[in-house]
Order: sequence, then C-alpha cells, then structure tokens
Amino acid sequence: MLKNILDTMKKDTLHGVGIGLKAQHYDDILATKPPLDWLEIHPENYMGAGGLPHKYLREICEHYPLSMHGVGLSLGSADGVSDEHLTALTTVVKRYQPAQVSEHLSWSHWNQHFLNDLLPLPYNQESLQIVVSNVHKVQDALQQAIYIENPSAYLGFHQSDMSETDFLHALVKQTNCGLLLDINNVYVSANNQHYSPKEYLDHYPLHAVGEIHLAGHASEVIDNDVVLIDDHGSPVIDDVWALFSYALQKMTDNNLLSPPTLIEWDTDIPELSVLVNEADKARKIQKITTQNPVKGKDNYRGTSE
Amino acid sequence: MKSSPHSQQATSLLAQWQETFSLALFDQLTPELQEGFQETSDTACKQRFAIYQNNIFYSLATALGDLYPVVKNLVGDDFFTGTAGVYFRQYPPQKAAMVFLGENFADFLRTFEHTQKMSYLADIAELELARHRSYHAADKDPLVAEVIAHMAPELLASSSVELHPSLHYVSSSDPIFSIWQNNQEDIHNKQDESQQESQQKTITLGEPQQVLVVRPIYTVCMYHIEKSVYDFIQHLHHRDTIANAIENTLKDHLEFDVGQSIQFILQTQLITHINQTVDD
Repeated sequence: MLKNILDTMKKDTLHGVGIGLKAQHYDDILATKPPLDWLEIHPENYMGAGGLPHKYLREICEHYPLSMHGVGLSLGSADGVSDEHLTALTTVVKRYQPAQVSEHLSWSHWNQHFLNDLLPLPYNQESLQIVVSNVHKVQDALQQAIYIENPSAYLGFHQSDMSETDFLHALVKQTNCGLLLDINNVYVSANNQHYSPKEYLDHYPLHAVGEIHLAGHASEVIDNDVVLIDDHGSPVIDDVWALFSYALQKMTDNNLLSPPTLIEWDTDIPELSVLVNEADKARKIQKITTQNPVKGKDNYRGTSE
Repeated sequence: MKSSPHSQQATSLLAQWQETFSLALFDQLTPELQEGFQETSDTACKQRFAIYQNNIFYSLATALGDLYPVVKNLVGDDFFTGTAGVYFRQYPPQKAAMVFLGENFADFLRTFEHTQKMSYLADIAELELARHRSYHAADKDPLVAEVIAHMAPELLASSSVELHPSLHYVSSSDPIFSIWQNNQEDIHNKQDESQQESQQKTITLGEPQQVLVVRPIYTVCMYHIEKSVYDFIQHLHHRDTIANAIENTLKDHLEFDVGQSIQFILQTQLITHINQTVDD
C-alpha cells in the first residue's frame, strides 16, 4: 500500500488542460511545442513492439506529462477482462509510466470477439459485481487506481434497476477507483434518454473525479426525435461548455480542485491549432470557476489497496 | 459470428444478454433483445440499435482499409466495404488493439468466392500485412557493415547471423511488387488529382516475384529480389552458417551470385548480430 502511494507521488500529476495525441500531429507538436499541460493517448495504439509510434511518443513524453485512456479492456464484459489485453496494457503502462490510466464503463467483447465499440450496460447488482470484479483485476495488475468514464448511450434497458450515478457511487465505494467525468457523454446520454444533464451532475459522485473529458458530437433525427451521436468530430458545443462550467462550479462549491481536462477529437481531425484553441477555451473556464481557491481542497488521487 | 459452448460465467443473465446483443450486432435486432429496450417505438429501437452496428462496421472497415490500401484500391471502395462486412462476420476481431486487426485477411481472400478471378489479391494482402508488421516490429540496431568487413573470411563463413526483427518476405506466382508499386501512384493521385501523367509499368500476370520487407531504422523498405536471394535469406533466417546457406542456395540456383547477395544484405541492413562458432 505504502509503496503504491509513493509510486503514485513520483509520477507527474496532471493539471490544466490537455488534448488527445493524434499521429497526424506528432511532427507539429515536436516542432512548435504548443502550450498544452498534458497529452492523452489510447494505449492500444502503442501495443506494437516498436517503430515510429514509439519513437514519437518517447520524444513527446520528454516535453509533456502523459495520460492513458484505454478503449479495449471491456470492464463490463460478463466473461471478464482479457488476460492477453491486460498484459499488453500493463507493458505499455510500465514502459511510459503515465500520470494516470482510465477506461470506460462499457463492454466490447463477448466470447473473445472484440466489437470495437463502447457498448452500454444495464445497471443492476449483477452488472455492478461484474464491473467491480473486473476493475479489481485491472487495478491489481497495474498496481494503481484507474479512472472510469461514464459512457454515451443511445439506448436504455428495462434490465436496469439503478441509475448510472448510483452505479458509479457504488463502483467507487467498492473498488476505490477514480472517475473520469465525460461532460459531452453526460449531455449526449441525457438528451438521448430524456433526462436533465444538470440533475445527472447533481447526483454524480464529483468527489471521485480525477479527469474531465470534453468533445463534439453529431446528431440525427430518428422517429421525430433528435438523437446525439458521440463522434468526437467537431468543436465542443456551447451547451456542453455551459455544462462544464456547471460541473466545475459545483466542484468549487464542494471544495474540490478543478480536475485535469481533456479535449478529445478523433474523427475528421483538424490541424493542431484548432485543438490548442479549444484547450485555451477550457482553461479560461477553469480559471473563471476557480478564481477564489479555497484552502484544503483535495481532488481524488486514488491508489489501489 | 457463431455462438460457442458457454463458459462457467456464461450462465449469468448479463452473459446471456451480451451474447444476444453481440449476435444481433452482426445480424439483426431480435424481438427478444428489443423487449428490453426502454424506447417504445419499433423504428426508434431498430435505428438506435443500428447506430452501434454502423459504428462497429464503419470503424472496422476503415481500419481494415487503412491496413490494406492496395487491396482496397484494386477492388474499389464499395466492393472493399462489402468484402470487409463478410470478412468480419466470418472472422470477428480476436484482439482489442487495432494494431492486430485483419491478420487473416489474406487467408479469407484466398477462399472468398467473389475475388477468385484476382489470383494475386491474397498475396498483395500478405505483402501489405508484412509492411504493417514490419512497421510495428521491435526496434533493433543493424550491425555496422564494417564489423563484417573486418572479420576473417573463414570465421565469417562459419558464423550464423541474426536478422532484423522487422524482416518479412513474401513470395508470389504473380508480380506483386510491380502491382503494389503501380497502385501507389493511383492511391496518391486520389489525393492529388493534378498529377494525371501515368508512370505505370505494364504488368504481366503469372510472372512470379519475391519481395523482402525490412525496417532497419524507422522507414519500411521493400525490395524485389531474385528467387536465389530469397532462398539464401531464408537459409540465413533458419540459422544456417553463411557457408551452409551459400551451399544450400547454390544447390537450387547455379546462377546465384554470392558476392552481390552479401553486398545486398549489408546494404539493406538486415543483419543485427553475428554468432561466431568456434571450432574445436
């Protein structure tokens, strides 16, 4: 336990605003060293043994703190986390020692078939115990707490007998994991399942948040209903910026530090400056909502037991 | 996608539900699954479920197209997307990381009825996979040529060599190197349509070609090599001593040019280590 805490302290602590690192921006980032506080990668993109991706990542890590945001663990799979994938993740984490590691509250494999999407779960005691068990397995392997992201959903299920926020409260309590609050996903899911995103945040375990994500989304009309699609392919919309401010204000009011925040952009990727400008915008909102820091603030920095 | 015998945990309700959900993603929404959706209209259920289906197939087909750009160019975008759909239904991805996607695509193409007339297509896929694997292979510094140049010839002859971890070779009964090259221009012209002038070479199908792929530092290099050189490198790869590799190659290829081949291997930086064998 003590060793885990010391190891965590040795790493860079993330703060401010980062962006997702994309291969098309490698050269630009190294040449211009834009004012970004940190960068995030999908560890799956660095599971090859060597070559250019690793060369670039090594160089970039000399200039920016790193966070890893996994997409392949499938923490919600009833047939458990893949040992092979967990070993590959552990290797990448050991290689680069990221400041933090995160994953999704979703599932993507069944019967050893990987579906390459973040599929939604019904929320009930059975699924909770499966996710708890999978999170324990990952945290034990990585020897650190991970941060779990709320998903964007296009469907809700009658099999659910608890809310997503109650599910997250229980997950944090039972695993000591941290949370990654994706504000865009809150907005998308709330719209698609017809509830209030602010009420969601009012019930969300903000004390456990160690990272925030912001992104753009698309929309389509299905059966006279606007359905939002979480495609990470456009700027953050005003409503999501407003929800971000709302979440930060609530955290400030509750004596919590403003968590490190990420701009995600994964499809139709624009030039680097567009992402840097979005990051600036997020940083300004962080500053406005935390103008008068209160002493004794403590955002979540968990370690596995 | 086929169901398989249930594991110990698969008796749980969630496991059963995930099985139903997964099978429907690769096929179509079933009434049993739809009953559990909170959406009330049939259209909403089907179209919202289709968002997941489209996300999965679009992302997989895009990743497969990025891995096999020449195959995609040869068959055309629409045909490729359709082929990818059949492929992923037959061979759902086994690993979560996209870097391992599509490893048996060449095997699939060899038996896929709609591409049988393009005899070279599977070998082109094999070549593109070799390039991809080479790109992601472990890094290792090639041996400096001077080290070999300063070795006594007898010692060199009795030594075996370790070849670069990024080394791959593909042999085909069709001119896959030429086909690959000809398509590069086409692929790049799609991005820059001002370049209309064609530099393409004439292809004679049925002309065998052997290709060597290696990434000594960070750039993937590709060479069209003679069958004798191809065999020689295979012998070296199987840890024959250099003398034995030469002897075995000469058995099948009287025309084998030893000096030129060794020079080629040094120039292409294939060797990473020399294992000197000490005579008793």
